[in-house]
Amino acid sequence: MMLRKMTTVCLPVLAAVLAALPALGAESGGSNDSAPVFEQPPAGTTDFTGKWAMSKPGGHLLTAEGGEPPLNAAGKAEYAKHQTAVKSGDHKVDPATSCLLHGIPRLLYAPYPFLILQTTRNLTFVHEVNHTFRIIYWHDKPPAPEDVDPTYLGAAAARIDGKTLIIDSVGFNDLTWLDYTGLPHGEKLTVQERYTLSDPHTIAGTVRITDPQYYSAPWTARFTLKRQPGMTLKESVCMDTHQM
Amino acid sequence: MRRPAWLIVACLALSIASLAQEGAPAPAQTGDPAARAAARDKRNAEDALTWNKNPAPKDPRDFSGVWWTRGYDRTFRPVSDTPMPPDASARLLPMTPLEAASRQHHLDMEKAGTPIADAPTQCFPHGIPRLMASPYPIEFVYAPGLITILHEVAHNVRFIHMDGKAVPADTARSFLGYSVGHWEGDTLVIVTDHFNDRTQIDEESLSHGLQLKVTERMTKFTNKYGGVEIRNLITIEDPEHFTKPWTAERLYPWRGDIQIAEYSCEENNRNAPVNGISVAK
Repeated sequence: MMLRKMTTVCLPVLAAVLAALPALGAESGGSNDSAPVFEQPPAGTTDFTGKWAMSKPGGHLLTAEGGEPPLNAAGKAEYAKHQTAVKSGDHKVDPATSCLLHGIPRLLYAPYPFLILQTTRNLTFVHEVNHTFRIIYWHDKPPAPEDVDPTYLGAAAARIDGKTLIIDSVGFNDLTWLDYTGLPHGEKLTVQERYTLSDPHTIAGTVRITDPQYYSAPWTARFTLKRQPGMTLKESVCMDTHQM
Repeated sequence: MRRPAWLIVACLALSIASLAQEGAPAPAQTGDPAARAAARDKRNAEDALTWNKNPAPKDPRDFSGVWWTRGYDRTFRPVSDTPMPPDASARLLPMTPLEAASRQHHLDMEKAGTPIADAPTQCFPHGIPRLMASPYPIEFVYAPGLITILHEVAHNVRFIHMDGKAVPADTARSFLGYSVGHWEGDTLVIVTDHFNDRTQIDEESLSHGLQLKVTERMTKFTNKYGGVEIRNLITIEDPEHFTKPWTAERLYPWRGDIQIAEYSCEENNRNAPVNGISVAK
């Protein structure tokens, strides 16, 4: 309870103080990092900006060949734990039930539309589900995992290779599920998303999962995104509406 | 939600420290005013250098990038030429009797140690203009027909519709309302309505109803230290709560030295419903 109070009462104030104390702010791991280096994609690259939605949201992630993900023994045990709990009606085992940020790739599979906003400065995903956003800068590779604090959405880098947008992410916490059925992951998770316009209204995508804690080998899932012309993102507030 | 006294004292101390950053009341009577002003000038010039490492866009209509208000002021007050403490400036508020009573109730409850929990304490979006006072960085992202403002605090997102279309007839009421923007010269004018009545105007005490309409006028300028800032003049109209429109101000300095961080309000929220039941008491 005390932590919650600190969050609601003191955090805004603390942030202001941290702004006044750059040395402290740098240690906080928050916004006060040293000046970032901004890179830009080459001029004339494919623009992925637009309103998008997953063609088959939710559900269970399979490999590109349609098989089960290569869970190792620890992964199988953890997955079984999640599935048993859900089947017995214990939905709080699902982090999304508590309105926590969905993590990657689950966020992409949420049954809500999202925006991709591509600029020379960065690449932003804005998801309708619980007004969640991801800001990704243009770099060849993400930071070293040991250099970042674990977060729900990870630390990502975006680049464009020919007609394909590639996002590499590291630095995840282990508080999210990979899919809606409870596929687990640990903090060593790395994710590579690839987006290719197969026609002006369709993105053919893949997401590659590498996590030695729970999987015996890296594996890749496929997805399709469809453009949503005329759609306006609505306000979705999980804490207000989510009643499992 | 009762707050222990030590916490309020600690936060007050932190608030004072953060306000001191604003420059206005310098640390307790040390040095003469000229020396304090010189120190403030020096710090502001150093800040501008650091914050301009990645420069702000030159186009006066391009706000793309990160901005971060200095310090934190938990009250909204009408802009006035004379600086004055919050209690004095509260007399400038054109409150209706309804709002005057409501405000007094907020102040009384806080004084009693049982403050009224407003939307952000439950991880709901802050509301407008409350969100625009938040002491966290914000980022503007431009796309055709749309300006998106990403707020670090509790991952709030504002969409400013710039496509010239009217508000859709079926627009639902929401915490952040529906925003339509246009340019008047180099000033971005944002009109927001369709609010619900579940947020406050400011953190301290001011309320609003369903008739709230907020007009923001945002202009980019270069200050005397070479730093770039957006000035936001925020006009609040709500005939139930205020006898006439009034205008408050917030400034957002350019911050080329930082990026927006992840912020999970929900992580520690004991109000999160589990199986439809709120566990917080």
